[in-house]
Amino acid sequence: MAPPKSQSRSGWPDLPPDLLGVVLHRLPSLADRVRLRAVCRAWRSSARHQPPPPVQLPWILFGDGTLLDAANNTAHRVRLPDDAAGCYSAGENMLFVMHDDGRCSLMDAFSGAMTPQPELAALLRYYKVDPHDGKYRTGVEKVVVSAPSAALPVIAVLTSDCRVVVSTRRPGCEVNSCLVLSEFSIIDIALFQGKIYGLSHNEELLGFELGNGRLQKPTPAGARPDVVGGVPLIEASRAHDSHDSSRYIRYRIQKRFPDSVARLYLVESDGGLLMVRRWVRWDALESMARRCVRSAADGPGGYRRMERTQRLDVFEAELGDGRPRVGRWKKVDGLGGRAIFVCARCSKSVPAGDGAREDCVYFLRRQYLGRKPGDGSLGDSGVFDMRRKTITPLLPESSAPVPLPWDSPRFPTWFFPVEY
Amino acid sequence: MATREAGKKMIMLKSPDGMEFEVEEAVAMESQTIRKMIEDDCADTAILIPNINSKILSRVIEYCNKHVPTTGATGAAASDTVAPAALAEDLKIWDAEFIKVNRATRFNLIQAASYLNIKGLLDLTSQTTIDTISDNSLEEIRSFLSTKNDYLPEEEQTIRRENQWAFQ
Repeated sequence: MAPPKSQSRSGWPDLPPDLLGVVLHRLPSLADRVRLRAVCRAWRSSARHQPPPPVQLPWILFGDGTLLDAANNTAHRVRLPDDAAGCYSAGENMLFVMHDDGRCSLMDAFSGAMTPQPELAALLRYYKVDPHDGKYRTGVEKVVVSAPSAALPVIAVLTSDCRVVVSTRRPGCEVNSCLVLSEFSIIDIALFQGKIYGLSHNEELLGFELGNGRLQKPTPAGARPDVVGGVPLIEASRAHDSHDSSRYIRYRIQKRFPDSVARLYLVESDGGLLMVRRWVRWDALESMARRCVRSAADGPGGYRRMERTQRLDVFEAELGDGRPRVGRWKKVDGLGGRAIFVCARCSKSVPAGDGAREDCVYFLRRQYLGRKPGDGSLGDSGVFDMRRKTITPLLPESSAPVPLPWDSPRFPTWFFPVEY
Repeated sequence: MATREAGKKMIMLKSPDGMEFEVEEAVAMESQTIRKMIEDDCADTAILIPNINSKILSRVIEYCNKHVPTTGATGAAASDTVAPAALAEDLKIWDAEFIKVNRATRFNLIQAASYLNIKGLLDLTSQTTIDTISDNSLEEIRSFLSTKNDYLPEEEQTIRRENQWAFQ
């Protein structure tokens, strides 16, 4: 390192870039780092060349636009449009917003910039997808957005009736093209190596090709988009098949009346595709007792199930040589120095760091209604250590209550802030 | 190591404004930069510390004197008699007093700690800065750091728009 240039200059703007880096690296909160970079021109330009700070816990997004930075015990508020009916974490600082009237937009959570998606909205309307978050009608389950740098940037929307609608993500004002993925059993999706992968409730893995020119030219207004079938890459588990002939109906039943069920997640990690199986026991007695004394806080329908996560299993897809029906799920005991974050709406794998522990699965329950004011816990969320086979609370019990406004307890989901 | 063999071997440190400081080798070696010079045998007579004036250098030496692990007075066995926890607590209080300096001095201390590669001092000085910055608005940070806002109004607006959430 070069010696400091001059002792006489002592203004902070002269802080050498590597020292600004030292300070930035030690500032745990992204909000503080953003403000520090904005102090003056010299810092703004030198901060661009600093390596990204160590990975922290992702934030937790609530349905009303509250972003909880649990590691720093602070909450931020995204200003959602007044007519926003639902907002979904869509990766790369993006939110997918459905408006009251069914319009859809991608919104940059940090700048508030909106990009309308009229073609996607038209398709969701056609399939009678309800824009309102969390109603017991067909709604949006999950939104996946590929990076703008991808060969074919797309938005994929998984609906609660297991349909997948895909639209290109062209810059504002350009017409997009759409596709529909035809399987009626998909419960989670992931983008992986330019393809969309769908996981069915019975652990079948399907691959969908997006290329083949289908998404090259705009879908004319009023025309039905292509319907694309998936290629089965891993066969359905036999144990599940013997139960019921109708996959679709069985999935709905399992979803409504879980006794002891597995929640499944599909997530890309370090060049592989993982399936996470979270075993959940529903404590029937406790739930009934609770229902007798149910209060307004229980939410619509009084569904406050006492879910308890018991165990998690992680499997890697062995896709074989690409021929259909040769792959299998292979159980893994570790994540190779990574951590994965799963929830129904947004799952991601990150390198382990200061916040995220190695070989751990962080899970967040989607429905979250049992919170009382001042209660800093996050319901049935936690951290599963794959090596020790233990589940620990997501937030340390000694930590101060999370400063959440009382009106935002619903639908927490992971949100991964990206620092530029 | 040299310290063990020679007991209290002394090293001469020179600041660019001509002051000389005689310090124990063990104290000087709190600085990884100086340690490397000594180990590479580039430190026969006096070590010139470029661009760190005598005022700052004397404070740095004061810090190193306090933080040098046990060997200072009575040799390696000293730590046996003092409870480590009490020692750490004592050091913490001392650090808190030590860092009560004006902004210019703290800035110079960060630079010196970085150049001399003294991890503890760098931690202390940058942490104090971080505590000043945390949870404050942009205007407050600028005023704490006596930094002038050199953006055009439009630029400032763009920066705030890009990250609305952080400037609320």
